[in-house]
Amino acid sequence: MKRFLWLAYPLIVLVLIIFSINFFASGRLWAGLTRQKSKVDANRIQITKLTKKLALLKNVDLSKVNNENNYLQTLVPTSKQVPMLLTEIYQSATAAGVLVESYKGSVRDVTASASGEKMSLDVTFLVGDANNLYKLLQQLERRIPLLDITKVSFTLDKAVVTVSGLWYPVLKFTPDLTYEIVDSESKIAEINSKLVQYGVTVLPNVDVISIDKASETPF
Amino acid sequence: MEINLLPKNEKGSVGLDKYKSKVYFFSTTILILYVVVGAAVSGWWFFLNNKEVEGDGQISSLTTQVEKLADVELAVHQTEDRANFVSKSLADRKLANEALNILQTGPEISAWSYVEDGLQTVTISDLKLSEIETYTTLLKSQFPTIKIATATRKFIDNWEGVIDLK
Repeated sequence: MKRFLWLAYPLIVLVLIIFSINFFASGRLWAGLTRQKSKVDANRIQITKLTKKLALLKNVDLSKVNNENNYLQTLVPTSKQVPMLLTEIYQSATAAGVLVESYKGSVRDVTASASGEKMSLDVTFLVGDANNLYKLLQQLERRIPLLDITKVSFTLDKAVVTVSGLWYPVLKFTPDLTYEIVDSESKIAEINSKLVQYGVTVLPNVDVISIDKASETPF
Repeated sequence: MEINLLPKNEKGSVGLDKYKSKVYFFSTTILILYVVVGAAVSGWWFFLNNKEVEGDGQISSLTTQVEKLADVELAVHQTEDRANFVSKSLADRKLANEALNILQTGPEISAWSYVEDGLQTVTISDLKLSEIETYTTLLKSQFPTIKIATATRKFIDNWEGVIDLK
């Protein structure tokens, strides 16, 4: 019997392999390793994104962003500010040398669901002649940045002008890790450039926004 | 003639002893390979596990830091959102320049009806019929579908023309 004892070693090796081959070949091990590898890769991507986002957030100048937001709110108010629109219309009429006879329009509830809805007003002006009407429309177009003249009906000395002003509420965004921080400065410069292009001559007072960046043309 | 004096049952073990060294070598090689592969797999598993734990911790820490700056993110998001809205509205903005040109071109206009993206009608008075036609031709390039809707004689050579621009 002693003579066969040396066979125990290869037999143990064989048994070890036979018993563990099931574990190696079952696929569970490889699936587990693959899952971990994917998780590690996903973590790496997430860390890169978060690190970048954190760096950008730390570099944000909050007062500049708030000023930009305030500026944009003067272009498009956060609610239906009909009195403000009327004030602008009256000022335009005065500048064009015409009178406002009457106005009508409906002011509905200001809700986020109605965002982007226009506030529409029908304003009757005593214009006198077509030249004054021309001056008035030019004033309206250039004085109020996002005013849309949708209808004009001119007969004799009166003109009924339907104007639409935009408003857009302040939306409540919940923090989102996937949201990428963007600098709105270039977009605002683009907006200013378009306003100049559209002939808007009277812009709200802006301290932070550099008009020169948008265009060399002075307002 | 060779004489084997060993008992008959011991003849086989002598035969197996011939393979002992080869079997040992083969078994040891297999065992070494087994241990090496096992160590590599375990090492890889430990490495990935550590990386995963480390990554989770880093994400958690970064997330906390980002969440602390939620007010900054909100301000940036709201500004971007409003800038996008303003930008889009500006792109959609229709200028009445084209319409304004009507008021500046040709004879004095006594009536004008303008609907954005819709019908535009202009009325001109106290003109000769040929002058109304000249005016229509003048605006042809700007309004290709222009046509005189009505021409009414008010006096001998005094006409009122209603012109459909669109």
